[in-house]
Amino acid sequence: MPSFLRKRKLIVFLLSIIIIVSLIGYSLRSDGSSSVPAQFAHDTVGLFQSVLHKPIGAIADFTGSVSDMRQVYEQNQVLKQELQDYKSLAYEVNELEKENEELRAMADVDTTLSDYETLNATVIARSSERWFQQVTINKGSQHGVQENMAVQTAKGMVGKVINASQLTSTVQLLSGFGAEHQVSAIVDQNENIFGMIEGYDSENDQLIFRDLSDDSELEEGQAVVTSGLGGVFPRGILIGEISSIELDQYGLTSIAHVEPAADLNDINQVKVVDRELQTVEPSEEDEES
Amino acid sequence: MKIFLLPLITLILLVLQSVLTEVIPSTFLDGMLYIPHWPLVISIIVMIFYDREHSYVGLMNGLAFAILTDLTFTSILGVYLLGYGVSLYVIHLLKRVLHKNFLVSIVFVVLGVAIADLIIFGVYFLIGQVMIGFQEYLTTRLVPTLIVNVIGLLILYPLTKPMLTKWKYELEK
Repeated sequence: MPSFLRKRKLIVFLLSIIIIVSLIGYSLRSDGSSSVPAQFAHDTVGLFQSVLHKPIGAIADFTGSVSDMRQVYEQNQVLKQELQDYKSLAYEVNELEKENEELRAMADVDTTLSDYETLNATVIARSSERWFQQVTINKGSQHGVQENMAVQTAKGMVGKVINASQLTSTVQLLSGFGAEHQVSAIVDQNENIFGMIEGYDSENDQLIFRDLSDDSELEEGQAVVTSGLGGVFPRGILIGEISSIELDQYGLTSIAHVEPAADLNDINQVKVVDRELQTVEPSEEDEES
Repeated sequence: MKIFLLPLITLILLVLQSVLTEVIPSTFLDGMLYIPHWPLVISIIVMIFYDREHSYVGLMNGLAFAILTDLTFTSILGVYLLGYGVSLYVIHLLKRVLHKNFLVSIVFVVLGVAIADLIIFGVYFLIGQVMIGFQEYLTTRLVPTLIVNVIGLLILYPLTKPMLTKWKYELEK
């Protein structure tokens, strides 16, 4: 191809290589772009997404409900039974809440790590390339969503907001968490065990929980919840259940594989969690100022 | 000048692929992931059936939507730009050599999507975003991706080819 090496084409070729390398480098450093053009692109695409999501979602819902219809009777029986238990449980919870409030008033504690408000949102799209496990939700900073807020479904935590535009936001799912998005976590009902969710094992679809405490009392079946000590998430959002435990490669700390409580492949309705206690800004803000 | 409808069609395709990814369960087959590259597919069709020897409508369209994909669906800019750019340029060089018919467009889509997806995988692998090996990538991602995009071509081809040849004819008149 002699024409390829003609002068003008060569210059264009070299320039585009330089532009692309600098773009990649820039976005690797800045960790998520929320500049005005990027927000505009997000919102424009998001608008089309929410328009198209309605008819397509309706069709998918309809086919889903037809196949659900077969099991309705059996499910109804089971649910009726569970409703009985639920009533007594709800009564118990009410009592406990009241008691908790009274005790807090006595102890002069206003807000704790576990207080939070939620904001309902609908998932309208998912990143079609699966390297980045990201979904788009139909609430943005106009509705009060901010970066780094936790996102959960009714079953448990699914991820966190990494990019809030005006009308839509991007959520990084737990299955795409790596070294740059760690979650500080504890084992439920055992304050001694704390550690970090530090990655996702895509082979068996489980999260990796590294135990940082000295005396390891990990057991299979224990529930792992957020600790609230990471600075952004409230305390007590369910992440998942421990399914197996092993030592790390140096044999010093133990690593647990955690089965996520929420189904990360099928997410429709989510809640964005806004912690009431003031949030500590992440450290990269400090570098800029 | 109806070609200005092209960005709108491509935008709808881009949005459609992300909405469908959300609604349709991710794994029909165990562990197989398919990645639609429909903006790339339609750009290749435009290149074959609309672009003349020295016009770059398909290439520009592909690059514009590569940037948009980078902005909206990934956290790293420039990777899709590189992948789509190289793959569309290769097609641009090859289309002078081959005839313009249906079979050739299938070959071009397979080749173009393979080049783009391999480059995207390669760059993500280099910067540490992706941890899986090449063998696993080939079997669980590349092959289903190629199949899905050929299906996309089979749907798009009868819809867009008559339109594009008509536009080209009107332009040359």
